[in-house]
Amino acid sequence: MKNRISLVIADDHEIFRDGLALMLAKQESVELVGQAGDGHELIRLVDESKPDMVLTDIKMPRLDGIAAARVLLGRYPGLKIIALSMFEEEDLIVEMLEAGARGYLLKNADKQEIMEAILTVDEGNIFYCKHTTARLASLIVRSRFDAGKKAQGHLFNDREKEIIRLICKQHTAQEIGDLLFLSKRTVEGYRTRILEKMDAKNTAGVVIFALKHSIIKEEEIL
Amino acid sequence: MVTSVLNITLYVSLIIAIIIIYFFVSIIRYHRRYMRLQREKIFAEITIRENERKRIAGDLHDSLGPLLSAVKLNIGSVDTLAPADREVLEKTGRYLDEIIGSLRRISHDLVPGILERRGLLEAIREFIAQVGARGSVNIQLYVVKEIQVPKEKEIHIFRMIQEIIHNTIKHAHAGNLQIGFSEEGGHILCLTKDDGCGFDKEKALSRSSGLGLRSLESRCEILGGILQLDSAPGAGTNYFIKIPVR
Repeated sequence: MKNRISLVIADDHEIFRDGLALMLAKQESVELVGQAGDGHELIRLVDESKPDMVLTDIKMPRLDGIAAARVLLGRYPGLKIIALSMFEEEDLIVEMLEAGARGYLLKNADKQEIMEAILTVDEGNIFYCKHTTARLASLIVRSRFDAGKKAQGHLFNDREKEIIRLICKQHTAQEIGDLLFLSKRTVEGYRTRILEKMDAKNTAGVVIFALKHSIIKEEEIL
Repeated sequence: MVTSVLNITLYVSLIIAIIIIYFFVSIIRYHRRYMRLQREKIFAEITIRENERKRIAGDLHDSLGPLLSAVKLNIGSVDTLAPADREVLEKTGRYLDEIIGSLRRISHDLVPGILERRGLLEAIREFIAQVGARGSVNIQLYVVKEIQVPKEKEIHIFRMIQEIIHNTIKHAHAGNLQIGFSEEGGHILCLTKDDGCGFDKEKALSRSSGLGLRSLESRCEILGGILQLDSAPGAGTNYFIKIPVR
């Protein structure tokens, strides 16, 4: 059996930290080894316990998540960092990714999504929160953040590209099926294959990939 | 005898003249003072309103937001095998999402956080992206020269641009709105131009719908700038705003 993923979490709101800790305590695949209230504490805790992963808030007093991430990744390049963000902080999320975070979650994410993020990033992939807006997606694509995707845009045929574009425009499988005269099932099959090829976990990943490889233009989704 | 009467008349008329002049000067001074106080009152009102908005937005964002997220996590960590209970928990989670979503909207409408963090132009870009996605008006932002706006002035210029964009969307029936920014000789220059139906400025000001227009003028005055509005029915609407950077 694979070792449990050791985690440190950081957030300046104790109540939120408690909620997160309570949730993580019940998960078998992770082990919470520390809780920090700001960036300085986070760095100290990571130095002490050398965890596999850090889940950190972005806006924190004294030292914020962005500065802490830069320091931590300077010391431990292999450390995996996931940013936790309150709504309305798209520019900060982009900065966090540029600082080296491998994924981000909005704080209203549910248990399933938080665990999905932890496992995805642990496997070495990037995790984009499913609540990613079109604007955030385009900010990410234009930023210095490089996901280092293996797959390329030309891996997709015309039909797939058409479906990708419709997914990016937030159409459901049923709607896509109606538009392209396909069954919902067939569209779902396409969707699964597309997500696999892109290494994406959700629509947000598809949108960012499609923008990056010019399968869709920014104007079409904004 | 005659000269003394003449003298007295002269003195009296002189005194009357002085009294009248004094009276007029007082009226003018009083009026000026009244105008100044009026301006200061509007200035104070707008400033208080902005500070209040900022405080409420901050509370919603920094206190209530994390609290609700924590509640959601707590609910999420309850394990139950009873399908009815699970359904209740799921439903509650969705309600919480809705509350958090409303909170986000309210907080953002009060003061966009990006204004504080990234400054005026980014905030305007974000606002355009938001309204542009909903509306039928194609809005373009041109920055001829990067502008440096003092922090305390940003919110006012942002509100003015917001008002202009709202007006264009609501009243102008325009297809395009162009907004240009530049800086020249210590002044921030902003020019907006739409191809909508235009309006009669005097008529608009006399109606209650001129309220937005008046608030535009007040804000511009607060900033010590000038606002020029060119519009006529059928000819589109142009605003020219010039604000000292200082």
